[in-house]
Amino acid sequence: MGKSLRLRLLAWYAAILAGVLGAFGAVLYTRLEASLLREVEAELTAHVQALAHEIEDVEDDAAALDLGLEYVRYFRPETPGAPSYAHWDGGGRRVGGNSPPDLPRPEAPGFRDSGDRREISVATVTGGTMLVGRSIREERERLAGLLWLLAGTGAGVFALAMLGGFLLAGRALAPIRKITETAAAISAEDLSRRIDVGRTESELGTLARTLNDAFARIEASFERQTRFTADASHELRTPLSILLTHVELALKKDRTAPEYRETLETCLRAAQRMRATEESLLTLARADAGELKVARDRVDLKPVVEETVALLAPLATERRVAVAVEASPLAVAGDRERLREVATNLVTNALRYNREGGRVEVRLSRENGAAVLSVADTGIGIPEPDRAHLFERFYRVDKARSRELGGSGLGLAITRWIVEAHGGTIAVASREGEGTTFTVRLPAAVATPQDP
Amino acid sequence: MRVLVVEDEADLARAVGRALEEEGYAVDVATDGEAGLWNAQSWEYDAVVLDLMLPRVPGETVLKRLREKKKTPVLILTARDGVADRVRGLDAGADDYLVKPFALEELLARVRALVRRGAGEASPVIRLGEVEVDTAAREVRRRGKLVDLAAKEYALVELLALHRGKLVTRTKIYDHIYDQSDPTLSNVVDVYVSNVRKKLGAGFIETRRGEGYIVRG
Repeated sequence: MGKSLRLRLLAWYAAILAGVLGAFGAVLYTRLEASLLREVEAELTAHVQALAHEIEDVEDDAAALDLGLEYVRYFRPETPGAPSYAHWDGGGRRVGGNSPPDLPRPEAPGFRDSGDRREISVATVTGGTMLVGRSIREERERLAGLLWLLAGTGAGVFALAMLGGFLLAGRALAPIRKITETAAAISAEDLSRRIDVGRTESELGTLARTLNDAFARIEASFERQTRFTADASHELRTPLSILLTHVELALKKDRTAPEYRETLETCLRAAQRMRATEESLLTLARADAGELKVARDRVDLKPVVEETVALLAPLATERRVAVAVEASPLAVAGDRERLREVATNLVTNALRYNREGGRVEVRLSRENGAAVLSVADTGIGIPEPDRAHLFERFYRVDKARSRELGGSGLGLAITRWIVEAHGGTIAVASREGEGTTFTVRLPAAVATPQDP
Repeated sequence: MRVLVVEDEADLARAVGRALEEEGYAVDVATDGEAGLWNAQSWEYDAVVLDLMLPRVPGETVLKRLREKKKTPVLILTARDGVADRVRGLDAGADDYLVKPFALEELLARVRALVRRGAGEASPVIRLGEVEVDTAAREVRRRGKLVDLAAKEYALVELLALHRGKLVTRTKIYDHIYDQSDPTLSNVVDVYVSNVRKKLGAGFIETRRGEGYIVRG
């Protein structure tokens, strides 16, 4: 991953650099070439004009054109490739010049290339044609030399820049590789490790911190999951132990019918307990997976609360707790069965964790557009440090007491989930030795015309 | 042999207690840490089966406080099978552990081993002249022939065999073969002694008048 990124960076870098160097070389070369040619042409132009001027002086005796000493120096007929001139009279007859005799007469005045020569011709006053030309091989060779120089330098610069780019990209990407390696090690071995953000004060530092945050969240959720699994397994192991032990004991030898009956009753209790735990676990698992949807029906909470209390009357009698209900008709948009579960859980807890002869007060009222259900008991209360954890899964204030009383440790977790799924809140207030009050607030349904 | 079971799950405690009773142990059951500790400190148990998660006083505390005074062999029961949990239990002074859910047979075998080791006995078979006591199978043989003993008679033989060569007082016998709920008077010990003598030979148990009983290895 890091390597391919490095190569890709390098490829882009190479393409851009090659483009820049190529363009630079091309511009330099063409400008120089043009300038050299212009120089040659200027020189030739000067000389052809000078020669043509001489002809004016010589008047009509074109053949008699005699060049002064400076022209001889310039035209150096003995040097190969040296400049040379040619003169044709008005009739197109070659009348002079040191150019090769077979040099064709130009059709029209102006510049032309003839082999490796550059030539210029002008019309003379006598109607003839004067031509001056010279080889530009030297200039071509200089340009070729320049081309090689440019190519060589370009290649050198390119190679150096590539090496530098390779190393730079490596250095720039090194923190990414480090982050990747650490992240891989974290996800593979040890979730508690973190990426060192000490020296990465750049965008990569931000990346590392973001990753660290993500790891922290993963670790926390992993720990929660581990603890939850351990708790769930513990919760199932106890009834499983009871079941196995009783069955094993019963099978050790022949038993009497009442003994078998007792074994079966115990096993039934254990199995029911496992089923209750399993159902609660399934509910929470579905809720976590987002598979559990709450209906949005119009539900009047008054009958829900009253029916719940009526159903729990036997438990109230058994625990010798008096239950008082004060409810006015109050509709919310929600799931009737789930809301019933909330009421059942809260009232059951209030009955279970009450003192004998205690009271439970269930009140349903409207407060600032919210439906408020409060369940108050006169039990021993919940110690302050426990209150924050009360709605956590498997959290028990007194493990033994709640188990004796048949709680699974999931009731309040489920209750909170239902309340929050309805857009509501649940709170607990408690005074040790005096009692506990759970308060559920749900958004009340908008009043409709058929409301009483 | 007398065993204390400390377990807060009443259904589980009942089953474990009954299974141990059927094996011939005298069994006391405590359903919370406080009662468990009190029992363990007040009586000479041959083994204690202790659940770690207990109301009032947690199992580990029971174990630590018990260890301040007594060396009673302790088997811990735990529903948590993490290595750390087991190490903590053993380090707190437990002699063995068993993870829930366990097989009843395994629990019984571990308790037998604890009782044996608590008496300084490594082998499950103890030879006393022509009598052989197999504490694993809970059987007694005389000259190679199986002798049919009642549960309490076997308990008496095993107790004396595990303390062979040493004087065992009548109170000790009474404490080890009866649990708290037994209303029996201590003179029933004499009845068992006489029954055992009939079955294993008159000279098997010696009487030290006014002190107790002894068997010779």
